[in-house]
Order: sequence, then C-alpha cells, then structure tokens
Amino acid sequence: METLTALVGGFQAALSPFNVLACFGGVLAGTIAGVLPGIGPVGTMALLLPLSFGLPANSAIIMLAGVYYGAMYGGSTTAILINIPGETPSIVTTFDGYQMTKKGRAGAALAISAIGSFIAGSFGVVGLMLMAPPLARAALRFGPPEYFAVGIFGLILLSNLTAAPFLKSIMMSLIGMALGTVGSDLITGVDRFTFNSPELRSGIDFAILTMGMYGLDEVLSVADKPYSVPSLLKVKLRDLYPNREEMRRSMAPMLRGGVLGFLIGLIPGPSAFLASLFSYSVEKRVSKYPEEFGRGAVEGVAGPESANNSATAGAMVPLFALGLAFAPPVAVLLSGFMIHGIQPGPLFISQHRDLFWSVIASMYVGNVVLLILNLPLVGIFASLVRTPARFLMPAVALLTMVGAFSLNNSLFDLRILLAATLAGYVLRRVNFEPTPLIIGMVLGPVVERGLRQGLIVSHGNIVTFISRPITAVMLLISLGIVLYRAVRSEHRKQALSDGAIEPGRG
Amino acid sequence: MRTQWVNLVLLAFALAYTYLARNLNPGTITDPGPGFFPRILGIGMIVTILVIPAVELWNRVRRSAEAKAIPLLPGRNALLFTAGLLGYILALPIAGYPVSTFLALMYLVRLMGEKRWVVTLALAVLLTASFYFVFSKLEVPLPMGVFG
Repeated sequence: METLTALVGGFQAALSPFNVLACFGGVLAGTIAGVLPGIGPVGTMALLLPLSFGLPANSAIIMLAGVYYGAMYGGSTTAILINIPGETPSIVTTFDGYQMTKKGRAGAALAISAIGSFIAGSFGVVGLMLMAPPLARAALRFGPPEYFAVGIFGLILLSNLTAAPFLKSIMMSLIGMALGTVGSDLITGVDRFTFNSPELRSGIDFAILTMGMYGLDEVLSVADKPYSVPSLLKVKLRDLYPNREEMRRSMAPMLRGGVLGFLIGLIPGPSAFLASLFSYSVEKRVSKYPEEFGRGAVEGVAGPESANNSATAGAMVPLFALGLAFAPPVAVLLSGFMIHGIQPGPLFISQHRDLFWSVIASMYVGNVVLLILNLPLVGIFASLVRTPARFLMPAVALLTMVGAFSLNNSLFDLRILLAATLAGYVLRRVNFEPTPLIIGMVLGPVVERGLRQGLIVSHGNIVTFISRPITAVMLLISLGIVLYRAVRSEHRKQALSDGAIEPGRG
Repeated sequence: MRTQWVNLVLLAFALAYTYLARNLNPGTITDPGPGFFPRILGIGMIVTILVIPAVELWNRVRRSAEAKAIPLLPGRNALLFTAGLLGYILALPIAGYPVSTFLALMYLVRLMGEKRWVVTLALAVLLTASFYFVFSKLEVPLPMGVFG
C-alpha cells in the first residue's frame, strides 16, 4: 500500500536524532505549558515560532505540532491533582478527576488520562493520515467560490460555537477580517490602511495578536490575582496503576473518545474543549453508573481526556488538506509553514510528501514520548505548578516580548503586542472572545480572494456562487445558523414574557 | 466602567474603518477592486455593533443584574505590570537587549512581590542570560544596543 511506504519513509525522517530532539522539545514545552496556569498551548506555540527560524522546515513543524498535542497531556495533570485545569479542555477533567484524587485514586486517574490520551492521540493521527490526502485531492477541484464559502462557513460555525454571544463573535470575526485587510492588496498591490507606514505595508502579523490575546493576556490576569501555590499530594509510583476494574471501564470510553474527538476536531472552533465536553455527556449517558459522574467516575476522565487529544489531530485535517486554519493553534502551525516558505493548500501533500509524512510519523513518536513523560515523570510536572507566580509571570512576559520582537525583527510589533494584550483583556471582560478575531484575520484574505476572483471569473454573476453544489451547501448551512440564532432569541423573548422561563437562565 | 463604552469604541473603529475605505477603489461587480471587500466589512461591522446592544435591550430582564460591577480595566497590579512592559519597549532601542531585559525583569519580579534583592537579581541575570543563549543558539538576532 502506497500509504504504508510513505509512512515508513516518514518514520525514517522522524526518527533522525535531530527530529526526535525537536519532537521532544515540542512535547515537553507543550506539557509544561499545559501544566502551568498563565500559559497555554497557543501562546507557547506562537512563542516558539521565532525559535523555529533556524530549524529546517520539518523539524520546525514537528516541534510546533508537539506543543499542541503535548499540552493536552499536561493540562490534565493539575486538573486531576489540584482541581486547577492547566488549560481550557482540561476543565472537564476536573469534574471527576479531582474526585478520584480525593478518593485516593489520583495515580489511577493520571495513568488512565495518559493512556487514553495515547490511544486516542494515535487514533487521531491515523485518522489524519487517512483523511487528509483524499480530502486534499478532492479540494483540488475547489475554485474561488468554494474557498469563499468555506471561509464564511468556518467563521459562522466558529461564532456559533464560542462561549460568547453569537453576534459578539460575528463582530470579532468582522474585526479580524478588517485587520486582515491592512497592508498591500494581494490582487492589485494597492496599499490599504497603511498610513504610509512601511511596517503596516506588510500587514499585521496575527501571531503577534495571538501572543497578546492568549499569552500576555493570561499573564496580566494572573498579575491581577496571583494564584496561591497549592499544596500537592505526593503521588507514589505504585499508586499509578489503575486496578483491573478501572481499566476495564475505561477501555470503551477511550475508544469512543478517540472517534468522537477526531470528528469534533474537524469542526471549526475550540474543538478540544468541545470534544471533551461532548465525550463527558456521552459517557454519562451510556454509563451503567451515571450517578457516579461528578463523584469520581473513571469514565469521566477516560473519555474526555482521550477526546481532547484526538481532537487536535482532527483540527489539523483542514490545515493539511485545504491549507485553512479554524482554530488558533492550527493558525500558528499555518504561520510556521509560511515562515519556512511552504504554501499550505490542497497541493501541499503532493508537493511536500516527505514533509507531510515525517510530521505524521513524528506525531506517533510524540505520543509515545508523552506517554513516557506523563506516567513516571508526572510528579515532576505536577511540582512545576508550585513555581511562584512572581517568578513565572515576569519570565513568561519577557519571553513573549523577546519572542514577539524576533518574529519580524520589529519594535513596531511590540507596540501592537501591548495594544492587543490590553484590547484582548478588556474585550474578554465584556464577553467578546478573541478566537473569532484571530481566525477572521487568517480566513479574511481567503474569503476576500474567493469573493473577488469568483466575481471576476463569473463576470459579476453572483448566482454562479450558489449554483455550485459545495458552495451552495455551505452557504445555506451558514444562513441556517444565522437564522436559527435570530429565531432563538425571539423565542427567548416570547418565553420570558410568557413567564415560562426565568430571566437570567440559559 | 460600563460595558457600553466598549460597544462605542468598537463602533468608532467600524466607522473609522469604513471612512478610510472610501479612498479605496471599489471597482465594479465584474472586477472588484481593493475597496470592495473593506466596504462590505465596514458596513457589516457598523450594522453588527448597532444590533448587539439592541438585542441586549430586548433581553433586558437579564441586563439589570449583570450590568453593574464588571471592572473593565486591569487592576492596579496588572496596569503597573503593563507599564513595565511599555517601559521595556521604549528602552529597548536605546539601551539594547541585555540592559532593558535585565531592568524589566528586576522591576517585574519586585512588582509581583519578591522581597529579597538577591533572588530578584539572580533571577533577572539568569533569565536575561538564558533568553540570550536560547535565541542566539537558534540564530535569532536581538538588538544588542550598548553591547554591540
């Protein structure tokens, strides 16, 4: 089978000492980022972007991808041990994970979380490996209208799935797209919104905004409210083994989580978090012991932890197949490609076969490394949480600043960074989420190019857009979501005035 | 600070963006120019930012409880932290990377509550040196200022 040959080739590249080191570096950074509050996978990935300059392309991508799925392992550690989620997807793990700790089964929870992540993560890689190439081939037939529709569809879906109100996310998407228009127009070369500034002519780098709105933003929050160093339960090595009963009950949730997570990862949005949430409710529904959920049900750890790992692989499918990013971590990966001169898109896999397969192979390797890191060494990572905020926050802040500067060798970027940090902070307070803005910046040019080129080719005939099947379906679904949202708030109004539901609920 | 301020600022942004887009050539429907998409975006933003408070007003029963005490701006500590970062940006081109980073770290670590000078100093030196080491090992240029 051709896939197998390619995969073997990929392993040869992924197992070169240098690439193993890059992979190890990435997953280690990811695990640490996942464990520590105030730093998340996205911020860490953005931070590692400039550090990846000197690396060859495939090592760079291997490292960056490692941070992404590595963070899903790390976040569960603190969630289980001290009820503090390292990052958002681990919130679900706190429901039952911490309860297991209170019952003295911390080691088992950690082990099951690591094993589930490994199984599902590997499953996710298989899914990615099998799905991306054919999808890319299908996408070769995409024309400008399809890209326009995919972009719109992605943004509307994303806005629907964020925790923030739909309209506010739409607004953020629009702002993001607007920011994406700054710079020289790709089609005509005209300067847009550059105010005669040479720095603005090359546009605003969304990676800088990402560092500000996801990285420094969290640092500022911690500066406001420093977390008190929690006391840590010592986890003895022999406690690490789940008993037979726990393993038996975890197998099915792990497999379900793997499949579910991957599918949800394909959808735009905070897929890892949604995947873990979904998995939790599925497990609760199919469990023979639903009353245990919330009190230390092992399925409540196994399922979500597996799901959030395979979701990361699912989220990479659009990246490799279409060259599109629907989530901030994937957008940073996209940036990584472009920094190294690689144009992602449907042709990526066929033009860069070696790169694609070495990255896939490295993800298998990475999952193994993570299993090793997270089983015996979990105690070390857990104790990292005890680093006082007064050391960690300045370190992270300065690292971010130096990193942001070195991305484009630009002091101007630092000012944008600071502005973005403050803006992100304030906006979050009023329920405007930064994710649609970041994705808007990434997808905006795609949408615009699709629209303009589509209109040129069809001689201004908008009907052509709708007559193409893929475009029509995506635009219809998008419209459907918008209408559904509009109707729903109508229903709320009606229900409120009927006294059927209480105000403030929902 | 009331949440409506944010909506106003966003409206101002939308208006400014749309206004600036007037100078760009919209082209025609058969040959859209650089101003085509920005105009659509601008109008879209203006409409959206006007609809948002309208919708919130519809659900006004919820508003009364929540609209009160959300502190919009970062707290004092966070603002001082930001000021330190701003100072860093201003100092960087003049004093160069090593000095600026060192001073910034000293300031921030003290700000975050470390009382011991020795520890502050040690951390500042350690971090400045390690960042430099890591970045130069990966061939990333840093402004050296006084140090060359």
